[in-house]
This record gives sequence, structure tokens and C-alpha cells, in this order.
Amino acid sequence: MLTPRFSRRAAMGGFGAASLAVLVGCGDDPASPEGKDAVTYQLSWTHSVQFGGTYLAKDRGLFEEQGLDVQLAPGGPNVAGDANTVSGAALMNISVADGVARSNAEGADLVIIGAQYQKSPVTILSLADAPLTGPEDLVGKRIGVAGTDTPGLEAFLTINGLTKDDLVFVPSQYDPAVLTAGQVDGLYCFYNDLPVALAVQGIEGHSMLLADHGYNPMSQTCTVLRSSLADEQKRDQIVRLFRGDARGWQLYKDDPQAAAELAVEAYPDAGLDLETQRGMADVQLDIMYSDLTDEFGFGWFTDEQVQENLKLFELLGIEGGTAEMWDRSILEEVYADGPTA
Amino acid sequence: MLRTVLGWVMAVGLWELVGRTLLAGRHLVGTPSGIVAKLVDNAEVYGRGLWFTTREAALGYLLGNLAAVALALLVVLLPGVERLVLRFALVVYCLPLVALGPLLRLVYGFGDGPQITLAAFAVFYLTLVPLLVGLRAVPQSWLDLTATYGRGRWTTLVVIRARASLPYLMAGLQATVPAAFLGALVGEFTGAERGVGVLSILALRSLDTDGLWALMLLSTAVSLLGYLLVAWAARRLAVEQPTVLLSTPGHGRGRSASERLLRALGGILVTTSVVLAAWVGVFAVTGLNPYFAKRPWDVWDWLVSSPESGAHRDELLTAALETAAVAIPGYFAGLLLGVVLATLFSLSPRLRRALTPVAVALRCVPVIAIAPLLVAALGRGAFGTAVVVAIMTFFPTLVSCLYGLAQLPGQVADVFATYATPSTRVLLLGRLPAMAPAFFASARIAAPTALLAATVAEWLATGTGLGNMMAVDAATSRYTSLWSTVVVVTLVALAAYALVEAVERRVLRVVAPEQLRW
Repeated sequence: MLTPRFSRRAAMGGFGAASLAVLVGCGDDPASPEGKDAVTYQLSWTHSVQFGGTYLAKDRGLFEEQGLDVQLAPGGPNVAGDANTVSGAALMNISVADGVARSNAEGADLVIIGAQYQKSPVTILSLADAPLTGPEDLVGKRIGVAGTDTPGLEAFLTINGLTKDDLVFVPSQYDPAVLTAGQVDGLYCFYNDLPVALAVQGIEGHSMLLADHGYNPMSQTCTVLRSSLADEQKRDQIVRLFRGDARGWQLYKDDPQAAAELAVEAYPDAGLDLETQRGMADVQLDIMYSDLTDEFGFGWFTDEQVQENLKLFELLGIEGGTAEMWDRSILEEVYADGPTA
Repeated sequence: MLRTVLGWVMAVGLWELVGRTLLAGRHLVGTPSGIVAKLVDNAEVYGRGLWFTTREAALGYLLGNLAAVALALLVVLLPGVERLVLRFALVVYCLPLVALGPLLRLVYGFGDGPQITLAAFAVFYLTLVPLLVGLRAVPQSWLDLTATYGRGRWTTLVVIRARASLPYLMAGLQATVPAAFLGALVGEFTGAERGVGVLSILALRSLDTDGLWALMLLSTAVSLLGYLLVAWAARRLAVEQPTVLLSTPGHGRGRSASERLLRALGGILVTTSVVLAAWVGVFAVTGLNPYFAKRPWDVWDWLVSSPESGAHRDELLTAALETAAVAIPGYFAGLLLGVVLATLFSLSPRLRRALTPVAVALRCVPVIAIAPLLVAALGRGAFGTAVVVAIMTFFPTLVSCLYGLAQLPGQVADVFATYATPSTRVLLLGRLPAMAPAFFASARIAAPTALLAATVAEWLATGTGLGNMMAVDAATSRYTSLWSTVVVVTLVALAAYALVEAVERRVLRVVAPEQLRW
């Protein structure tokens, strides 16, 4: 009744060979070159020209000049950037001020040492044939917003004398299809992301930066552990990391297109589209550089900005924010001789 | 053959037409021409991404299935630990991605570790459960025979059980192919450098609908290939005709109600202690920072002993009810769909050939890709999410039931054939009862799967329920709340599992008593 028709040995052999083929060529961690400090720099999203200045710094050897071997860790939908810094897996990460305050409220002790964006990239995107140009246009409209961004949108409404009952919140992710499919009139998203994607697809959109209407949480912040600043060796690494990074962003300002090309070239597996990256690279200039950065240097922030953020935290109901959360000493050291790193 | 080709050509033509007219400019569905253009333009990038993800998935598949086999062997040799092993496995299977992803990244650092682990986690439970059913599917008389010769468990395992379990093992191996791929793909959301997951995040965000669909088609093709490969191997290895499992219902061994209650309580106590010990132990050994990796006492404080715990519990209960409202209908719909499709497939091989790729595709396509489409088509309400749940649930049921329906004993089939019984009657009287153990195995698996699918859909698409709560917690660093939610999700899954198990025992006591003992 039971007549084995197969050779067990043959089956095992095949299995073993298959597993071997899979195992070969896996898991390679590059060792740090001689004499350089290996540090990890956690980005806030998957690779793109959003981090173009940092790529320029890496590509042009600006980190090596500083005696650093920098590993850039990409973010993603399921990445806890702050937690990676808290646990010591990363020396510095890109974050946002409200996120840092929330982390601190939960027991982290993180400090913002620089702000890459002068304006928050948060925007409400609408289609050009029915543009939403100011807060008053939102009344009675359906706005797509991710669950995590709802408090932000509510704070924006409060600042502009509106309430959440004045419009309809539609839960969604950063997926422009809901806008093009007509399910919403506006989509809460990022200035250098979906609006550019829409433009590249040949769809005319209109972008309303919330920062132009009183809502400006400090964004793309360089965030480190307070204990790292107290540790002499780590503090020194942070200074060098920030200096190299800032020099990269100085190059970026003069030639954002070079950064776009570099991003596509350096990360062939990220699937970046050159045209989109070029668009993003240009658009990003609007929110990264200002009179302030011209005067003091890239990544600078003022006490007024800190106070503005603290007021915003109150509105958002975040408890972890105090002025202690910011530390300008790294910026002051890097820009001791003027606004050039 | 010609008709099949013509049918496909017509379908693709219609798709192109609808994509270019009705749905034009809505960026929901890619058109065939656009997808082909993307595939050609990005052949190299997509090819590499596919290779990376496939490699992670293959490794996870291998490790996950090996773990399942090892655990099953442990249970056969030490039957006393069965419930503990199954419950512990269930807890691991239930760990939500939102919490697990960042944790694995912290443990592994760079590289493919989290992707491979998530693929293995997605796999091992789906194989373990049917495998245990198969190891039991042996006639009592054979066990008596080995006992007569004074042989022990090892001999019965090697000589009898291993062969009996083969069809069930194969069902598991087949159903886990797309699960492994999906696990690896979602694992890439935890900060991977490369792979289909990374590419699809970008495609999704940059309105590259054709690109997203191209990636999903490639993923489907790879999963389908793996699925067919395992199916081919299963046919080569198949026992020609299943034997009659003549086993008498257990009698006189019934325990009193109080004894059953005591045993159940004891089981829960042991499982809880083992899970808690593993929780504390693993976190201590890997040295995870308590800022992110909360311990059991933090959760206890959040849910029970702190002054605000009442509010926390209310919040969780509301979210849990929202999730249940989509998970429960999705669960039953998925189960029904699986059984009905399996039955139809067994009646019509042509239907089976035509629809198998569609079924595999539905299981392979990540929720992120179909959620916008489903939500657009079905609305943002509970219905859309329930459909997503059903889609994620039905596939293991379908595969398991297909194998189950084939478990009609040869002699019984001969009897039916002698009397020229119509195939529908054979189905009703022979095949469906023979399928019962396989069906219940998949029903047990489907309970936690439905819950997980619901939370994933909520996280990615609708922004409601437990899934959204975990996403918001993760985004706002409310890690104590996140871990408490994880605990609640796990408890709900365990309860659902226990409920299905109780029904199963009642049915199998009549239909397949051999499943209730070793």
C-alpha cells in the first residue's frame, strides 16, 4: 500500500542545494576603514534627494575629512528614528520638533542641535482647478489626513480660528490617489513630496504651506541624545558630523541638480526617478534656506523659533517640550567664524 | 488552448480600455501598456529589487518551515507540551508588525535580518498547525501494531506519522510561499536599503501607479512560481490513495466539567508564565532599551494599576470593538470563500487552472497596493476593510481544504465508483467529512490571521481601530500604550483561537476522532 516512489536522498539533496544557494552571498557588513570613527546617521525616510546635501557630503569625502565613516540608515513607514538614537544604534537622527517633544514626554532625553528646514514642509495639496489657497478655503471641504497628522491639522485650524467641525477629516495615508480620485478636496502632505510627484505626472496642483499660516513646527531637525553632548568624545563626533553635513548642504544650495543626479546614482536600488528628484531638489530650496541661514549658517535656529514651537506644543497637548530641548552650542561652534561651516 | 489565450487577450484588452477611459487620471489602476512600459524601462532596478526580496523570502521560508517541522517533532515526541507549543507559537505569530519591525531593526542593525525574520514569522505557524493535524491522521490499528511490537513514539513517527503527514505538510509549504514573500516585503518597510518593498514605498508615494502595479505583478509571478514548484513536488511525493482512518470515537475517557476547567486554567497559567519569561528574557539578553522595549510590568501599570488605567482600558476597548466589527465578518467571509472555492476547484480542474493564479495573486499583493483600490471601489467604511481581511484569510483555507478534499480514503472512493455515485454526492458524503480536520486547522489559523489583517488594513488605509491606535502610538512614541495594545491584540487572538478550537473538538469527535489523541 505504501510504495515510496521518490528517493529520499534525492529530495534531501535538492533541498540542501536550494538552501545553500540562498545562503551564499548574504549578510555583509562593511568594516570601518582605518582610523575613522564609524557613526550611524539615521534618516527620516527612504533614500531620496530630501537628504541630497548629506549625500553630497558623503560623496565628496566631506565626512572623511572630518575623520568619520558615516553610515546613512534609511527610514521608512515602520522605522522608529528617535528610538534608534535613544538606544544608541544611531548617533544622530533626522526628526521633527513635535516628535522629539513627544519622545521626551515618554522618557527619552533628546536634544535638537540644528534645523535643516526653516519652514515646515507640511502642506495642504489640492488640484489646481479647485485650489485651496488659505485657511478660510478649507471650510466645508473634505481633507485627507493620516491618523498621525490629525493633531497637527487641528492645531493649524485652532491657530486660524477654525475648528475641526468646520471641515470633514477623511482618514488616509500619503497616497495622492485619494485626491486624484476625487475622494477628498485637499490632502495633508509634504511640500517636497506629493506636490512634485503630481507635477511630474502632469497634474497641476496647488500647495498651501501651513508654515505660511502660523503653523511651523521645526522640521528635519538634527536630533541627538543629551548624554551624547555630555560625553566629550561623542560630542566631538557630533560636531564633526554636523560640520561635514552642513558643508554638503552648502554645496547643495549652489547646485541642487547635482544632488538630484547623485541621489539617483548612489542609490540605484531605491528606484528613484531623475525627473522627480530634480523637481524635489529645486522645491526644497524654498524651505531650507532663508535670510536667517544666509546670516548665521545652514541649520540655524533662533530663540523666537523655539518659543513659537513651545507655544505650538501647548496647542498640540504635548507635555515633553521645554526650552531645554534645544541646544545651539554645536551650531555656535561650527559657525564660530561666520555663516560658512 | 486557443480559447484560453483568446480569453486572456480579451481580459487584458478590457483592462486597458477601462484603465484608459473610466478610470483615466484617477491613478488607482495601472494599465497593461503602462505596466509593460515600466517593466521595460526599469528592468534592471526591478530585477535587482525582486532578487533581493526573493532571497530574503526564500531564507525566511526555509527557516520558518524548519522551525515548524522541529516544533512538530517536539510535540510528537512529547505530546504533553502540545498546547503550550501551539499557544506560544500563536503569540509569536500575533506580534503586530508595527511593534515588531522597529524592534527587529534595533536587534539586527543593518542588513536583511528583520526581513528574513518577518518572513519566517509569517510562515512557521501556517505550516505548524496543518502539520500537527497530518501527524495525527493515522489509523488507530497501525499504532496498535507498532505498540504490539513494543516500539515507541520514534518508530511510529518515522514509519507511520511522517508519511501520513505529508499531504498536510505540503499544504503548509504551498500556502506559505506567498506569506513568506509578503513578510519579506513588509519587512523592508523597517528601513531596508533595497528590495521590492522599498521600491513600492516610493511608487506609492510618487503616484507611480503603473510602477506599483508592475512591482505587484512581479511579486505575484515569483510567489506563483514558488507555489507551483511546491505543488509539483507535492504531486511527486503524494501517497497514491489515502487510507481509511477507522478510528472509534473516544469513550469513557471524558473528564468532568470541573476537571476540564482546572486543566484549562492550568494551561493558561503555564502559557502565561512561559510567555512572560520569554518576554523579559529576550529583552534582557538583547539588551533592548526600556524606552522603546517595554516590559510586562510597564503594561500592567498602564492597563491595571495606574490611576489613568480606566481611561486607557476604555480607549482600548473602543478600538478593539472597531477592529472586531471588521475582523469577524472578514473572517467568516474568508473562510466561506476558501471552502467554496476549494469545493469548486475539486469539481472542475479547468476552473482550478484558471483561477489559481488569481487566488495566489490576491494573497501576494500587499495590502498597501490593493487597499487604495478597494477603498475607492467599496468606500472607506467597514466593508472595504472586511474585504481586505477576507482576502488575506481565504488563501490558506483554500489550499488547506484542497488537500483536505483529496483525503477521501481510496476504498471509500472505490465504493462510490462502484455505485456510479454522482460527484456532487461523493463530495457531500465523502469528501467534505474527510476535509474536516484540514478545514478546522485552517479555521484555527484564520482567526489570528483575520485579526492581523484587520489591524494592517486599519494601519495603512482606514485609520480606525487597534491598527490605527498602534500606528499613532508608534508615531508619537507612546510605547507603553503600544505594547499594551500588542498584549490586548494577542489576548483577543488567543481567545478567538480557543473558541474555534472548542468548536473543532466537538465536530472532530464525530468526524475524525483520531485528531483528538496521539
